[in-house]
Amino acid sequence: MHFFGERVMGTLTIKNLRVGRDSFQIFVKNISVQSGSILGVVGKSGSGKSTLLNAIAGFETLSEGEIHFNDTNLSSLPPEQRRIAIVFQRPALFPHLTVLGNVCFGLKIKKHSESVQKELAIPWLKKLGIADLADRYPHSLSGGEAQRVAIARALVVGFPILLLDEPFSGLDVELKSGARKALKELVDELKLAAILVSHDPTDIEELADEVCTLEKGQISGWLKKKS
Amino acid sequence: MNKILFVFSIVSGAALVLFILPLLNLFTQFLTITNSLHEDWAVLLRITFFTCEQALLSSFVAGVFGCALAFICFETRVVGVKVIAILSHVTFFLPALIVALAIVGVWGNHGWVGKFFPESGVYGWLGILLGHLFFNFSVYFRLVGQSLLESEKSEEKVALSLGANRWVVFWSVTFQKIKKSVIQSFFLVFIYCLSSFVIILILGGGPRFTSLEVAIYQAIKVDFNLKLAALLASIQLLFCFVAHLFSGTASEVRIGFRPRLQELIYQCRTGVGEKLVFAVTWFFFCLVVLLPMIYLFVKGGTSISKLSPNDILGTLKFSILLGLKVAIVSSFLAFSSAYLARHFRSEKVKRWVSFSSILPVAVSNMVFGAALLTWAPSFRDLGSEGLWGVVVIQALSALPLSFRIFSESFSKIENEIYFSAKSLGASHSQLLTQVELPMLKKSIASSIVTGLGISLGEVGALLLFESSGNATFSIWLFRLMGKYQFGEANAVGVLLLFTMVCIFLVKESWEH
Repeated sequence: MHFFGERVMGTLTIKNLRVGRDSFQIFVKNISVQSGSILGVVGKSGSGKSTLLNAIAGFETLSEGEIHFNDTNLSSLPPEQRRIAIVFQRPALFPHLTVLGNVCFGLKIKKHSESVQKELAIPWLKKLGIADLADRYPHSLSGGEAQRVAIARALVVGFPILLLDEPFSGLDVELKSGARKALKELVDELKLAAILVSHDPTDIEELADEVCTLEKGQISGWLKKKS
Repeated sequence: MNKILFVFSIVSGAALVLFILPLLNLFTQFLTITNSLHEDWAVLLRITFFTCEQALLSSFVAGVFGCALAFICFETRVVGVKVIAILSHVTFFLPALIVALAIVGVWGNHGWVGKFFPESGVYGWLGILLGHLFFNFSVYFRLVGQSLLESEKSEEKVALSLGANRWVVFWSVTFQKIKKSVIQSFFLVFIYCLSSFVIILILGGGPRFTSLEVAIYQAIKVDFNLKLAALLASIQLLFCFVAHLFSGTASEVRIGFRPRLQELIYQCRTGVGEKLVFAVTWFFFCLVVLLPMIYLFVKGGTSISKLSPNDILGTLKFSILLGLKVAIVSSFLAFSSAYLARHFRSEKVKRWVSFSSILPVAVSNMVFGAALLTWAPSFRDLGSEGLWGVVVIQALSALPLSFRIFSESFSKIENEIYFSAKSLGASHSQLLTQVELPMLKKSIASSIVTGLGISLGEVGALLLFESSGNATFSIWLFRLMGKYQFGEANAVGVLLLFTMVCIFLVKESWEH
């Protein structure tokens, strides 16, 4: 599989991370995720799961703590320089761009020529089974198709870290199963360090190599650890 | 702070200073000149009292008509709701001069309806109320109609199931839900009527019906008394500002309607009742809204040959050029402010940006014109024929509507879209050029059309800054009416209306 940028492997480490204001704070003492593995994060609504992902991606300001990937301190970088791909519960596709335009967005930002963008993007469209949708606009896609576009858009840029915020919650049971399988393969193949937030125990069961539970903004336990 | 936020802050800040400084100067003048003025205070009081009186009455009459129409259209199944909705959009943007002309044509002594009631006479209260009703019913229709459409009907169903009749359900449940929008509409219309100029000048018909706005115009253009104009403008501003504080959301008037949420509760249960409601609604709507518009097309259409093609083309070019300048300035300002309101972290700053962007609603063009001329008389000569003075005033009057268009569109861009773009490496400028601007294409077009429409129909600022040279359609119309050349005036009115309809049609086609 082609992708943009050099393939970097390593470990995502989060230390003493504190985010939020007086009314609600999350505090995470120590998390590490290695390339090629998925950390599952579970917890009740409002426990801080999405805030944790937003903090790692750079959308929440840290009160204290550090986020490292190998030796690089990510916490001091703005979101656009962290090289962390993110997939949300809603696909958040750019409505004015086609499927191909959406997938190429990150490549265009890096000022790649159109031919290079296509060369890199089309294999991803094929792999995720959405090549025939390349010229369609987001409003004409089903939930499953849109979510696959969002995943392709996140992966084509070749970032070493992938954050997934309930990415399958909008899909039906059949699609979910296929999407999980595809995601697992991609994380293994690309050696991504991934964090998956989900309400669905099956997602966690099938995908996560390690699972932590968040409760009132703090890790209350590590539920499962595969050897 | 990112660079774009910084640039837009400077732009918005500069606009705010340009807006606030003349008004502050106006108040300073007000405080220093009240003792030295030798005006007849009884006359000033009478003018102030009349201004408030006509605004109150007009707001009330428009409210009764607009609310009833909204209720009938959105809570029953009256045929032709779409037509009424489209026409209410048109009336909101129609130039006051055309409306005044059409009302004289229909309700005047020799008019289509007026000739049957020769004693009543259109000039005076009847003309003022009809003119204001024509414009302002749509504010109630849209705001109240929207809250009716958005309100769920579960409570009404519960009340009905508990045995309450429909009147009780209406007063105790439905009215409580729409009360806020009725009050907001009332204050908004009150502001519009307080600052009404053309309707009072033309349909008032005499010194007894002089409002503050008309008095400001006379002080500047007839008496050349800028101090008196400043005093009158300060009083006017004070009233409008207080009403604006009460209205809260002066730019709430939407361009379109959101879809209906729930089923109808108040639908007539008999065929006869339904037909009666339909007949009464359409009778009043035709009398107040449709007939004046039809009059204009019929009379104006037959008189177009009286106008010289060169005059038409020259005026069209001048009007469009001026309108485009206004549209570009107001859209740029509105975009900058909406961008700040979307991206500033501090909620307090966001609220201030929104507040100051809709503040011009409380300042009529005549008041701001007087303030501008008192503060910097050189504005009269800025650009050829005082054009930039007019552009500044008209752009500020278009700002609240354009701001509303942009801020609504910005709020529709989900956070996840921003997060996705940023996580893919987009900088602030790339976010603006590759995500926000393409997503706001329709809003930009909408804002430009709004600015153009407002400029085409505006007359107050143009009258303050006008010279004998080039004229817009509105000024041409005004001059023809002043010479009692009503045939030609009707023709110019139709041309102006036609131009505005074309512009709105282009906008519609862009949007779909």
